[in-house]
Amino acid sequence: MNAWKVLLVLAAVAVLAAPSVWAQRRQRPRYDASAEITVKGTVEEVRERGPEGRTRTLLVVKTGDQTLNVSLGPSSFVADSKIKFAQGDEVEVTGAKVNFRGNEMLMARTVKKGDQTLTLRDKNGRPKWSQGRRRRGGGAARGRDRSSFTQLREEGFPLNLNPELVPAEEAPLADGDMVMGIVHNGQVRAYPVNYMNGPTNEVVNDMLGGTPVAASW
Amino acid sequence: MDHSGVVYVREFNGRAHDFGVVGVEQGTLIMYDQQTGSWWSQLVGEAVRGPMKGSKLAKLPSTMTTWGKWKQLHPDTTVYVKRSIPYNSRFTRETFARFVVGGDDGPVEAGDWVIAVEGHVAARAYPARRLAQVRVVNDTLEGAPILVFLSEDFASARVLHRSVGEKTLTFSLAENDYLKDAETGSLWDPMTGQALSGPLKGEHLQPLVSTYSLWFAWKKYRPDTVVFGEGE
Repeated sequence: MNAWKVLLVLAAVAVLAAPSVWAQRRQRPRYDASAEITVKGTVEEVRERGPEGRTRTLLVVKTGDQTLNVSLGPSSFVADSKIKFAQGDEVEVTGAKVNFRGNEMLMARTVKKGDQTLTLRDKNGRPKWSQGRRRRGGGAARGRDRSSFTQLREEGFPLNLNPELVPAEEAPLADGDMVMGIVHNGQVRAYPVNYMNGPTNEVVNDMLGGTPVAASW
Repeated sequence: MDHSGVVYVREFNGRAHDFGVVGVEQGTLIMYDQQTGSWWSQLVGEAVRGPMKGSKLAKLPSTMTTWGKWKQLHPDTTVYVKRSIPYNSRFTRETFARFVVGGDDGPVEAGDWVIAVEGHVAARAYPARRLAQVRVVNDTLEGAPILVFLSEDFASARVLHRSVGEKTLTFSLAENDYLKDAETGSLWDPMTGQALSGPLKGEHLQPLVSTYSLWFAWKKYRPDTVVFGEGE
């Protein structure tokens, strides 16, 4: 990775991401895990709201003398689970109370019905239906899919010729730094990838063991 | 862009060619050569435009690893430096480890890191997060027994032929990131391919060219790639 590419990618990502971030902010309140409560009650009504094809499922749950709107999430996600909800079901809902467009409602994280549990969000409130598109598992960082990014300079960037080579003890590297190492025809070389930043440095034209090589990153 | 380190032989048509960068196309680096003006994919080394279009550069086996590990293995190494640019430790062992730690076993995704290997015809990819769970895979590529290894710190991946002469060996992890073969019990260093002790001491396993890449980039050039753990 290098600064040149990072900047270009960041610019592209910013342009692409901005409208969707806006849309999300406008549409959805955030899940506040610290405001989490658990309630038991009876389903009075199952509602589907929103534009066709993108409806969200809502349970109206009567708990004691209170009636609570419980937001589950996209109807498609709820329908994919094996659990069906209907009027009269006894449910136990864990979720965070939010104020959405002046109405109080409960954003559900889990809904229990009998011995079945529908899990809608993880412990941090991140929706299950958007996972898989984002980082998953125990925080594994994936590389970014940059397959839509193109930036070319027709005439090419200047060549990187006649590389300077030093013995190991003169290299200004830390032990944990990544290098690309190669042994060829008895010659041993390390190319520190931290030098291979930017379009004039990503390719090193070298000679190794009598062979003209191009080390690239 | 796709963090793929590759060393190419830049000699063809009987002479050396000088390579530079054109830019990034659909997330992958494109190189050019000064002498023919052809454009080349940096990931697979295939000419995508110009007089050399369709031809492929030869790759040499190289290894991504940490500087500490490399100089321990090869104290006699020479190092490329460029004094005109300030050196910083941007890309470290931790950068690599983050790619694989905590991964789950779901199907390979666009942003997944894979170790890709090409045979004469076939190609295989080993998702790093899947490899991290086992670290050693005894596999077969076009009938040839191969060994895929990921180091304990996840910074180094190696692909080697797992045969010595006529004998095929089956490897499992031993102490200190070494491997042991089931057939003779010899101890091997997968980073150099050398047997350190046991009946096969002094023997070598030959490296294959392998490429660390993001899956979206690799599959663009080799959509026929078989992914390890996802059936044949």
